[in-house]
Amino acid sequence: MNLKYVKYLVFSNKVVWIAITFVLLFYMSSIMMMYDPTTVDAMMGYIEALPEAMIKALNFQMVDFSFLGFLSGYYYGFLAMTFPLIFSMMFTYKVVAKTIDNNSITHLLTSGRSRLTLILHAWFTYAVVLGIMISLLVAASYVMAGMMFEGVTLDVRFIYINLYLYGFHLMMGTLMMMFSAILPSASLALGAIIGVPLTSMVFDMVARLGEDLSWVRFASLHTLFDADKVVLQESILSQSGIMFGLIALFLIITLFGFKKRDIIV
Amino acid sequence: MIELVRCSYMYGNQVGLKEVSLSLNQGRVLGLLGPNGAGKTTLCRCISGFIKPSSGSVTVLGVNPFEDTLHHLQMGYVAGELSFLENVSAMEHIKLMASLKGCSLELARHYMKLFDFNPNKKIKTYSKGNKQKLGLILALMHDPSCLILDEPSSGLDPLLQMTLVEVLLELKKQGKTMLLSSHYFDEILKVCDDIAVLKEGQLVSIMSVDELYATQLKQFQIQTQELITLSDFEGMKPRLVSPHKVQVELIGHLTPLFEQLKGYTVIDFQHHEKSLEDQFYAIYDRGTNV
Repeated sequence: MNLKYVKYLVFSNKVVWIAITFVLLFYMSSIMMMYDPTTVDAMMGYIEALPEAMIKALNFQMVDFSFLGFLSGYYYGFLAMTFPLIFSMMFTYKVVAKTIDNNSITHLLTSGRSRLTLILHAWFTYAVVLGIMISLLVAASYVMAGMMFEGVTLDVRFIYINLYLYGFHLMMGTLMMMFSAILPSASLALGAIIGVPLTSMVFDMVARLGEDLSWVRFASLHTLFDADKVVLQESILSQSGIMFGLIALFLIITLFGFKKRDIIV
Repeated sequence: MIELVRCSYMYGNQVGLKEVSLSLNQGRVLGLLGPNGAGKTTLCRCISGFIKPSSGSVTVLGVNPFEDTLHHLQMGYVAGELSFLENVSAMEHIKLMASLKGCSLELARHYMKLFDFNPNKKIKTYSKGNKQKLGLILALMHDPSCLILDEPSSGLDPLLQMTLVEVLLELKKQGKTMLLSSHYFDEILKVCDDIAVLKEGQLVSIMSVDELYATQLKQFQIQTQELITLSDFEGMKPRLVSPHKVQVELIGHLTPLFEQLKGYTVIDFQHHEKSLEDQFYAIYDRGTNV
């Protein structure tokens, strides 16, 4: 592992990951401030007054009235699944597809490092930065929860939800890295990097609209992440297994696809 | 050191290279000539291992460059269209590449001084000439034994082009093997041992620079006191300019001409050398495949 290259990748994308971390923290603090155990019922009433389809699509549903259930419904159901995707899109596009498109990959390819090493550096850096973002979110959430509420604590399930979230985003990011590394043009890669996760998100929303449409969830990667299951202490082993299987599959395709492709620089 | 055997490459339906075979031995410098789209850059890409030939083979330092990237530690490459990593200064870029290549900064500093290059600015603020200098520094900083230079003087002012030629001659003296793609015929003549011409992806001609000089076409215009008989100059492409003036063309030594002139009183004798460039493009137009 070449730390200078990892450092370069981290710092050359600092604006994106710092901005997204702040957005995540901002929404986390805002949603935490909205939580009041004494007014949860009233708030539920207000939310129920909104169109049902919208509530279902955005997954603003609470499985229980605990603080964790509240966060699971209003933060991990949509916001935490969406904003890190923006970081993943920008990072994975920039470090591979854009680098090929603007020819600057020439210097990396002629450095004597293999293509596999270079792409693994990019993937490893992505995994580390994503990990740092979610760790900061967890740490800040514990601090904010401690400052805002007395007697209301975030138990270990909160850590599990975030590990689960990390796995979900790692899967999505690896998929985007795959598009970035193997598709023959930067514009095609960008289309797939943005289009596939958005389609997955839309399918997930559609699947929530009613029993008749629930089959659509099989076409969505978003349905693999369900924070409510952790809150209800249900098993997420099958979802986690599929997610990590897909990460391995996407990574293998990325590595071998990048190794075998022609790079027109 | 570099060997291509019937190497072809297709960009979809378009021919990039068509059955190109050539070999370049240690210490030789090969110039690549040809118009835009002739296949010079594709050839450089194949040799550098960025693309895999559709058919045929490429061997660089005994390995397939597409499969084995370690040969890059003995190879320097300057791309035709230079671009660099974003949001870094030239010095940061050089340090990062030194770290990836596992070399010291000593040679990079030497070339920075030679090219009068200030590395402490963001790369995006550099002029094209300075970017070209940086590209050369990055290609030379690890003391490679082989250099692939795809139009290295493109965008350089005449003074800098001269410096580049001097650097290339110095590297040639050190025994480096070089493949130099260029549009500038003079640059190729000054630096290269051999010249290859590409046309529509095919190798049209490959010859040594010495051979090119030896086959240089010489043109003479001779004025005599006597009336000229064209048949006296048979085999020299004679053309009567006036009854007392003839134009002839010769390749090689001039004895046959002087033999014929013994019967004339020569009043004027003018020599016009057809440029090597013209001669070379005559070969190009003939389009003989080798």
